[in-house]
Amino acid sequence: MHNLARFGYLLYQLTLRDLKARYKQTFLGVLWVFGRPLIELGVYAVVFGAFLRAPTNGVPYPLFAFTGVVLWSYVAGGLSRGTRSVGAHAALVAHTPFPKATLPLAAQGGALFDTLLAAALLGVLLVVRGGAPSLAALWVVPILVLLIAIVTGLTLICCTLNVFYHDFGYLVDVGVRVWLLLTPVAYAASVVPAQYRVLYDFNPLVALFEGARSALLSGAAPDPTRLVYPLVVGVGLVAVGAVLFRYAEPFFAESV
Amino acid sequence: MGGTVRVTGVWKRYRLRVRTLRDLAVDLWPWRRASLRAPRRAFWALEDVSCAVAPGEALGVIGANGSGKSTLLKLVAGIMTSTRGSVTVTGRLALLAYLGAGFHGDLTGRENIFLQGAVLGLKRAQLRAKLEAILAFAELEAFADVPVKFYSSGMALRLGFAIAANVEPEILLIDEAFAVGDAAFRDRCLERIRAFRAAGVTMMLVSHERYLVEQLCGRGLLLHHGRVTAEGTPAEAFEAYEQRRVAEAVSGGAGAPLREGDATRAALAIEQVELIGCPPDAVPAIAVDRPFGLRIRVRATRDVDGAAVGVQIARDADVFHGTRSNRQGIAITARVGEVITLELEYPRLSLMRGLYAVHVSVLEHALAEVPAVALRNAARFSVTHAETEGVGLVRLDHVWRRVPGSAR
Repeated sequence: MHNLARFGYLLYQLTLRDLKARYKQTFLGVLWVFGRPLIELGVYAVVFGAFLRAPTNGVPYPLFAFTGVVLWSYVAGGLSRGTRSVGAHAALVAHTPFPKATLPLAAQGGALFDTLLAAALLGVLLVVRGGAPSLAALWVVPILVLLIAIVTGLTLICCTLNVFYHDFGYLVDVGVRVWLLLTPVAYAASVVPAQYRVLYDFNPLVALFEGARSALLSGAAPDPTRLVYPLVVGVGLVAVGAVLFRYAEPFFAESV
Repeated sequence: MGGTVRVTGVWKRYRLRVRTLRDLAVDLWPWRRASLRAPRRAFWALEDVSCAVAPGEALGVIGANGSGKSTLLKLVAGIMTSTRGSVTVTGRLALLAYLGAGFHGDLTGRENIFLQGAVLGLKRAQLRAKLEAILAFAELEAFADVPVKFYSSGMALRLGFAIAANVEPEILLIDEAFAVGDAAFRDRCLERIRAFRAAGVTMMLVSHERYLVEQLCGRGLLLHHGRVTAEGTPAEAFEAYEQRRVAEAVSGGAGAPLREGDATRAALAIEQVELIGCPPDAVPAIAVDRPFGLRIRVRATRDVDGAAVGVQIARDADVFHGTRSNRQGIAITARVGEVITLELEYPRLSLMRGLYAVHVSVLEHALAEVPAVALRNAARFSVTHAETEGVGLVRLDHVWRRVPGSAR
């Protein structure tokens, strides 16, 4: 119990440090949290909205894409920052005894904080757009939990591998980009031709992103059976990640 | 309250290789071939090391660089885990080493105290209560809200020590590198460590500073190439250490003569340095109460007027005595090719037991600060004495006597 409290406080301090350090360094500070997704949104609106005329089930494209961009900002941020978190704190890891799992988890916390700020902006846009807020919107909470589970599990695995194989982080960077294109962030999953759809649905984020969109934008509850697959993947990744990280943690100090 | 440390049959192996994606691919490849893997070099940093520190006891771990001292400390601290054997620690640890390693430059001193305190396992309430004391000990009250990247290295070190020293440890693990600050702060650190010691805190100190270990520790442990080669009082451990160093010096290896400076431009060339009455190339044992003499032969490479020869007696990086011939009126004036022989005599060597080196240098004129050429480790000798050793850096001549009729 005492250890858990210590772990929690350390996690809080490291997350705080992650956020403070980032926002102190950048010129625009907190504004940057909104700036980055908005710039991405602008590019998507031009390329997918104006050039390619991606179908959005009647939702204005910017709102449609922004939902995806906000969710994706956590996936990309949590995974790429988390993968490098242990290496980035090499001095601390090599010279201080403390639970190392706090490092990738604090990176998740930092990325999640950014995402929630951007999500607040999304909330404002949804209110401005009007329409009675639907109870179905509450489905984003379990969806976000599943997203956190998948990304955290994957981060623990990538983070461990990055300690022992020093260039693994580059592979993760490439992977994140590929994953972005294979996830319905800037377009709807309905554009994927039927013959590819089975393969496409192997990506557990497809059901989560589609579900979040339907809950937030159409006011329709997602089909719960579609969330079983992401749940299984999330639990599996967290279990594998936790076991791998625990097994490898004692060797971090001499390997960073 | 002191904690306990028990190290039982510990082995620690390091694998020296940087692995990349190529190795990951090879690792995952089902038909892996050994030839594709990065060469696996492993070395044992510790071999079958056992030691125990009882509550309130202080153990000094000594040994040359690379002997495994720091590895042992890291294992006890729980930073690393042993390959074989067990390390059992009871009690709250504080590690006085690598101070400030976890600081984040963009955060202020105050923010770093909370961060580092959390890393060391303190709770928020404890940290709040100690904040002022930590800042006061580090003498950084005025800089509490300045980002640490603007601190000098000494300031960061002070903050690191102040945080580590305020976790109310039951076991204190100290690496000698802690004492890098200015002399005044170093003194305060030592004072704090002595206070912990007096309060019965268990201690493990890694150092090769004899003076420090003898001051602070009740027991000494000598590590050599990862093995325990001596254990006893600090003096006994250091005796074994010095004997081993002398033995290694005699059998060659480290500490070979080394010429420095541009010999073509120096007015005098150092031709020979010998210890009077000793065969050349030996590492003689000099009794402390015997006279000790050096004979130095130099040759003028051009006409010189008023050059001088300097001699230093040193152990490791510490120079115990340095002198130059012109201080006693011997300036060298010679024609090219002439050979001059100088002798330097010490009536007695007031040095502690141990291995010493003689450095000889040539100074171009009476006021020269930087030698033109130097011959480091020109000769080496060890100092012995019969009596049981005192403590300190040098052995000052002294006599104890009892005043007759003073008993009551």
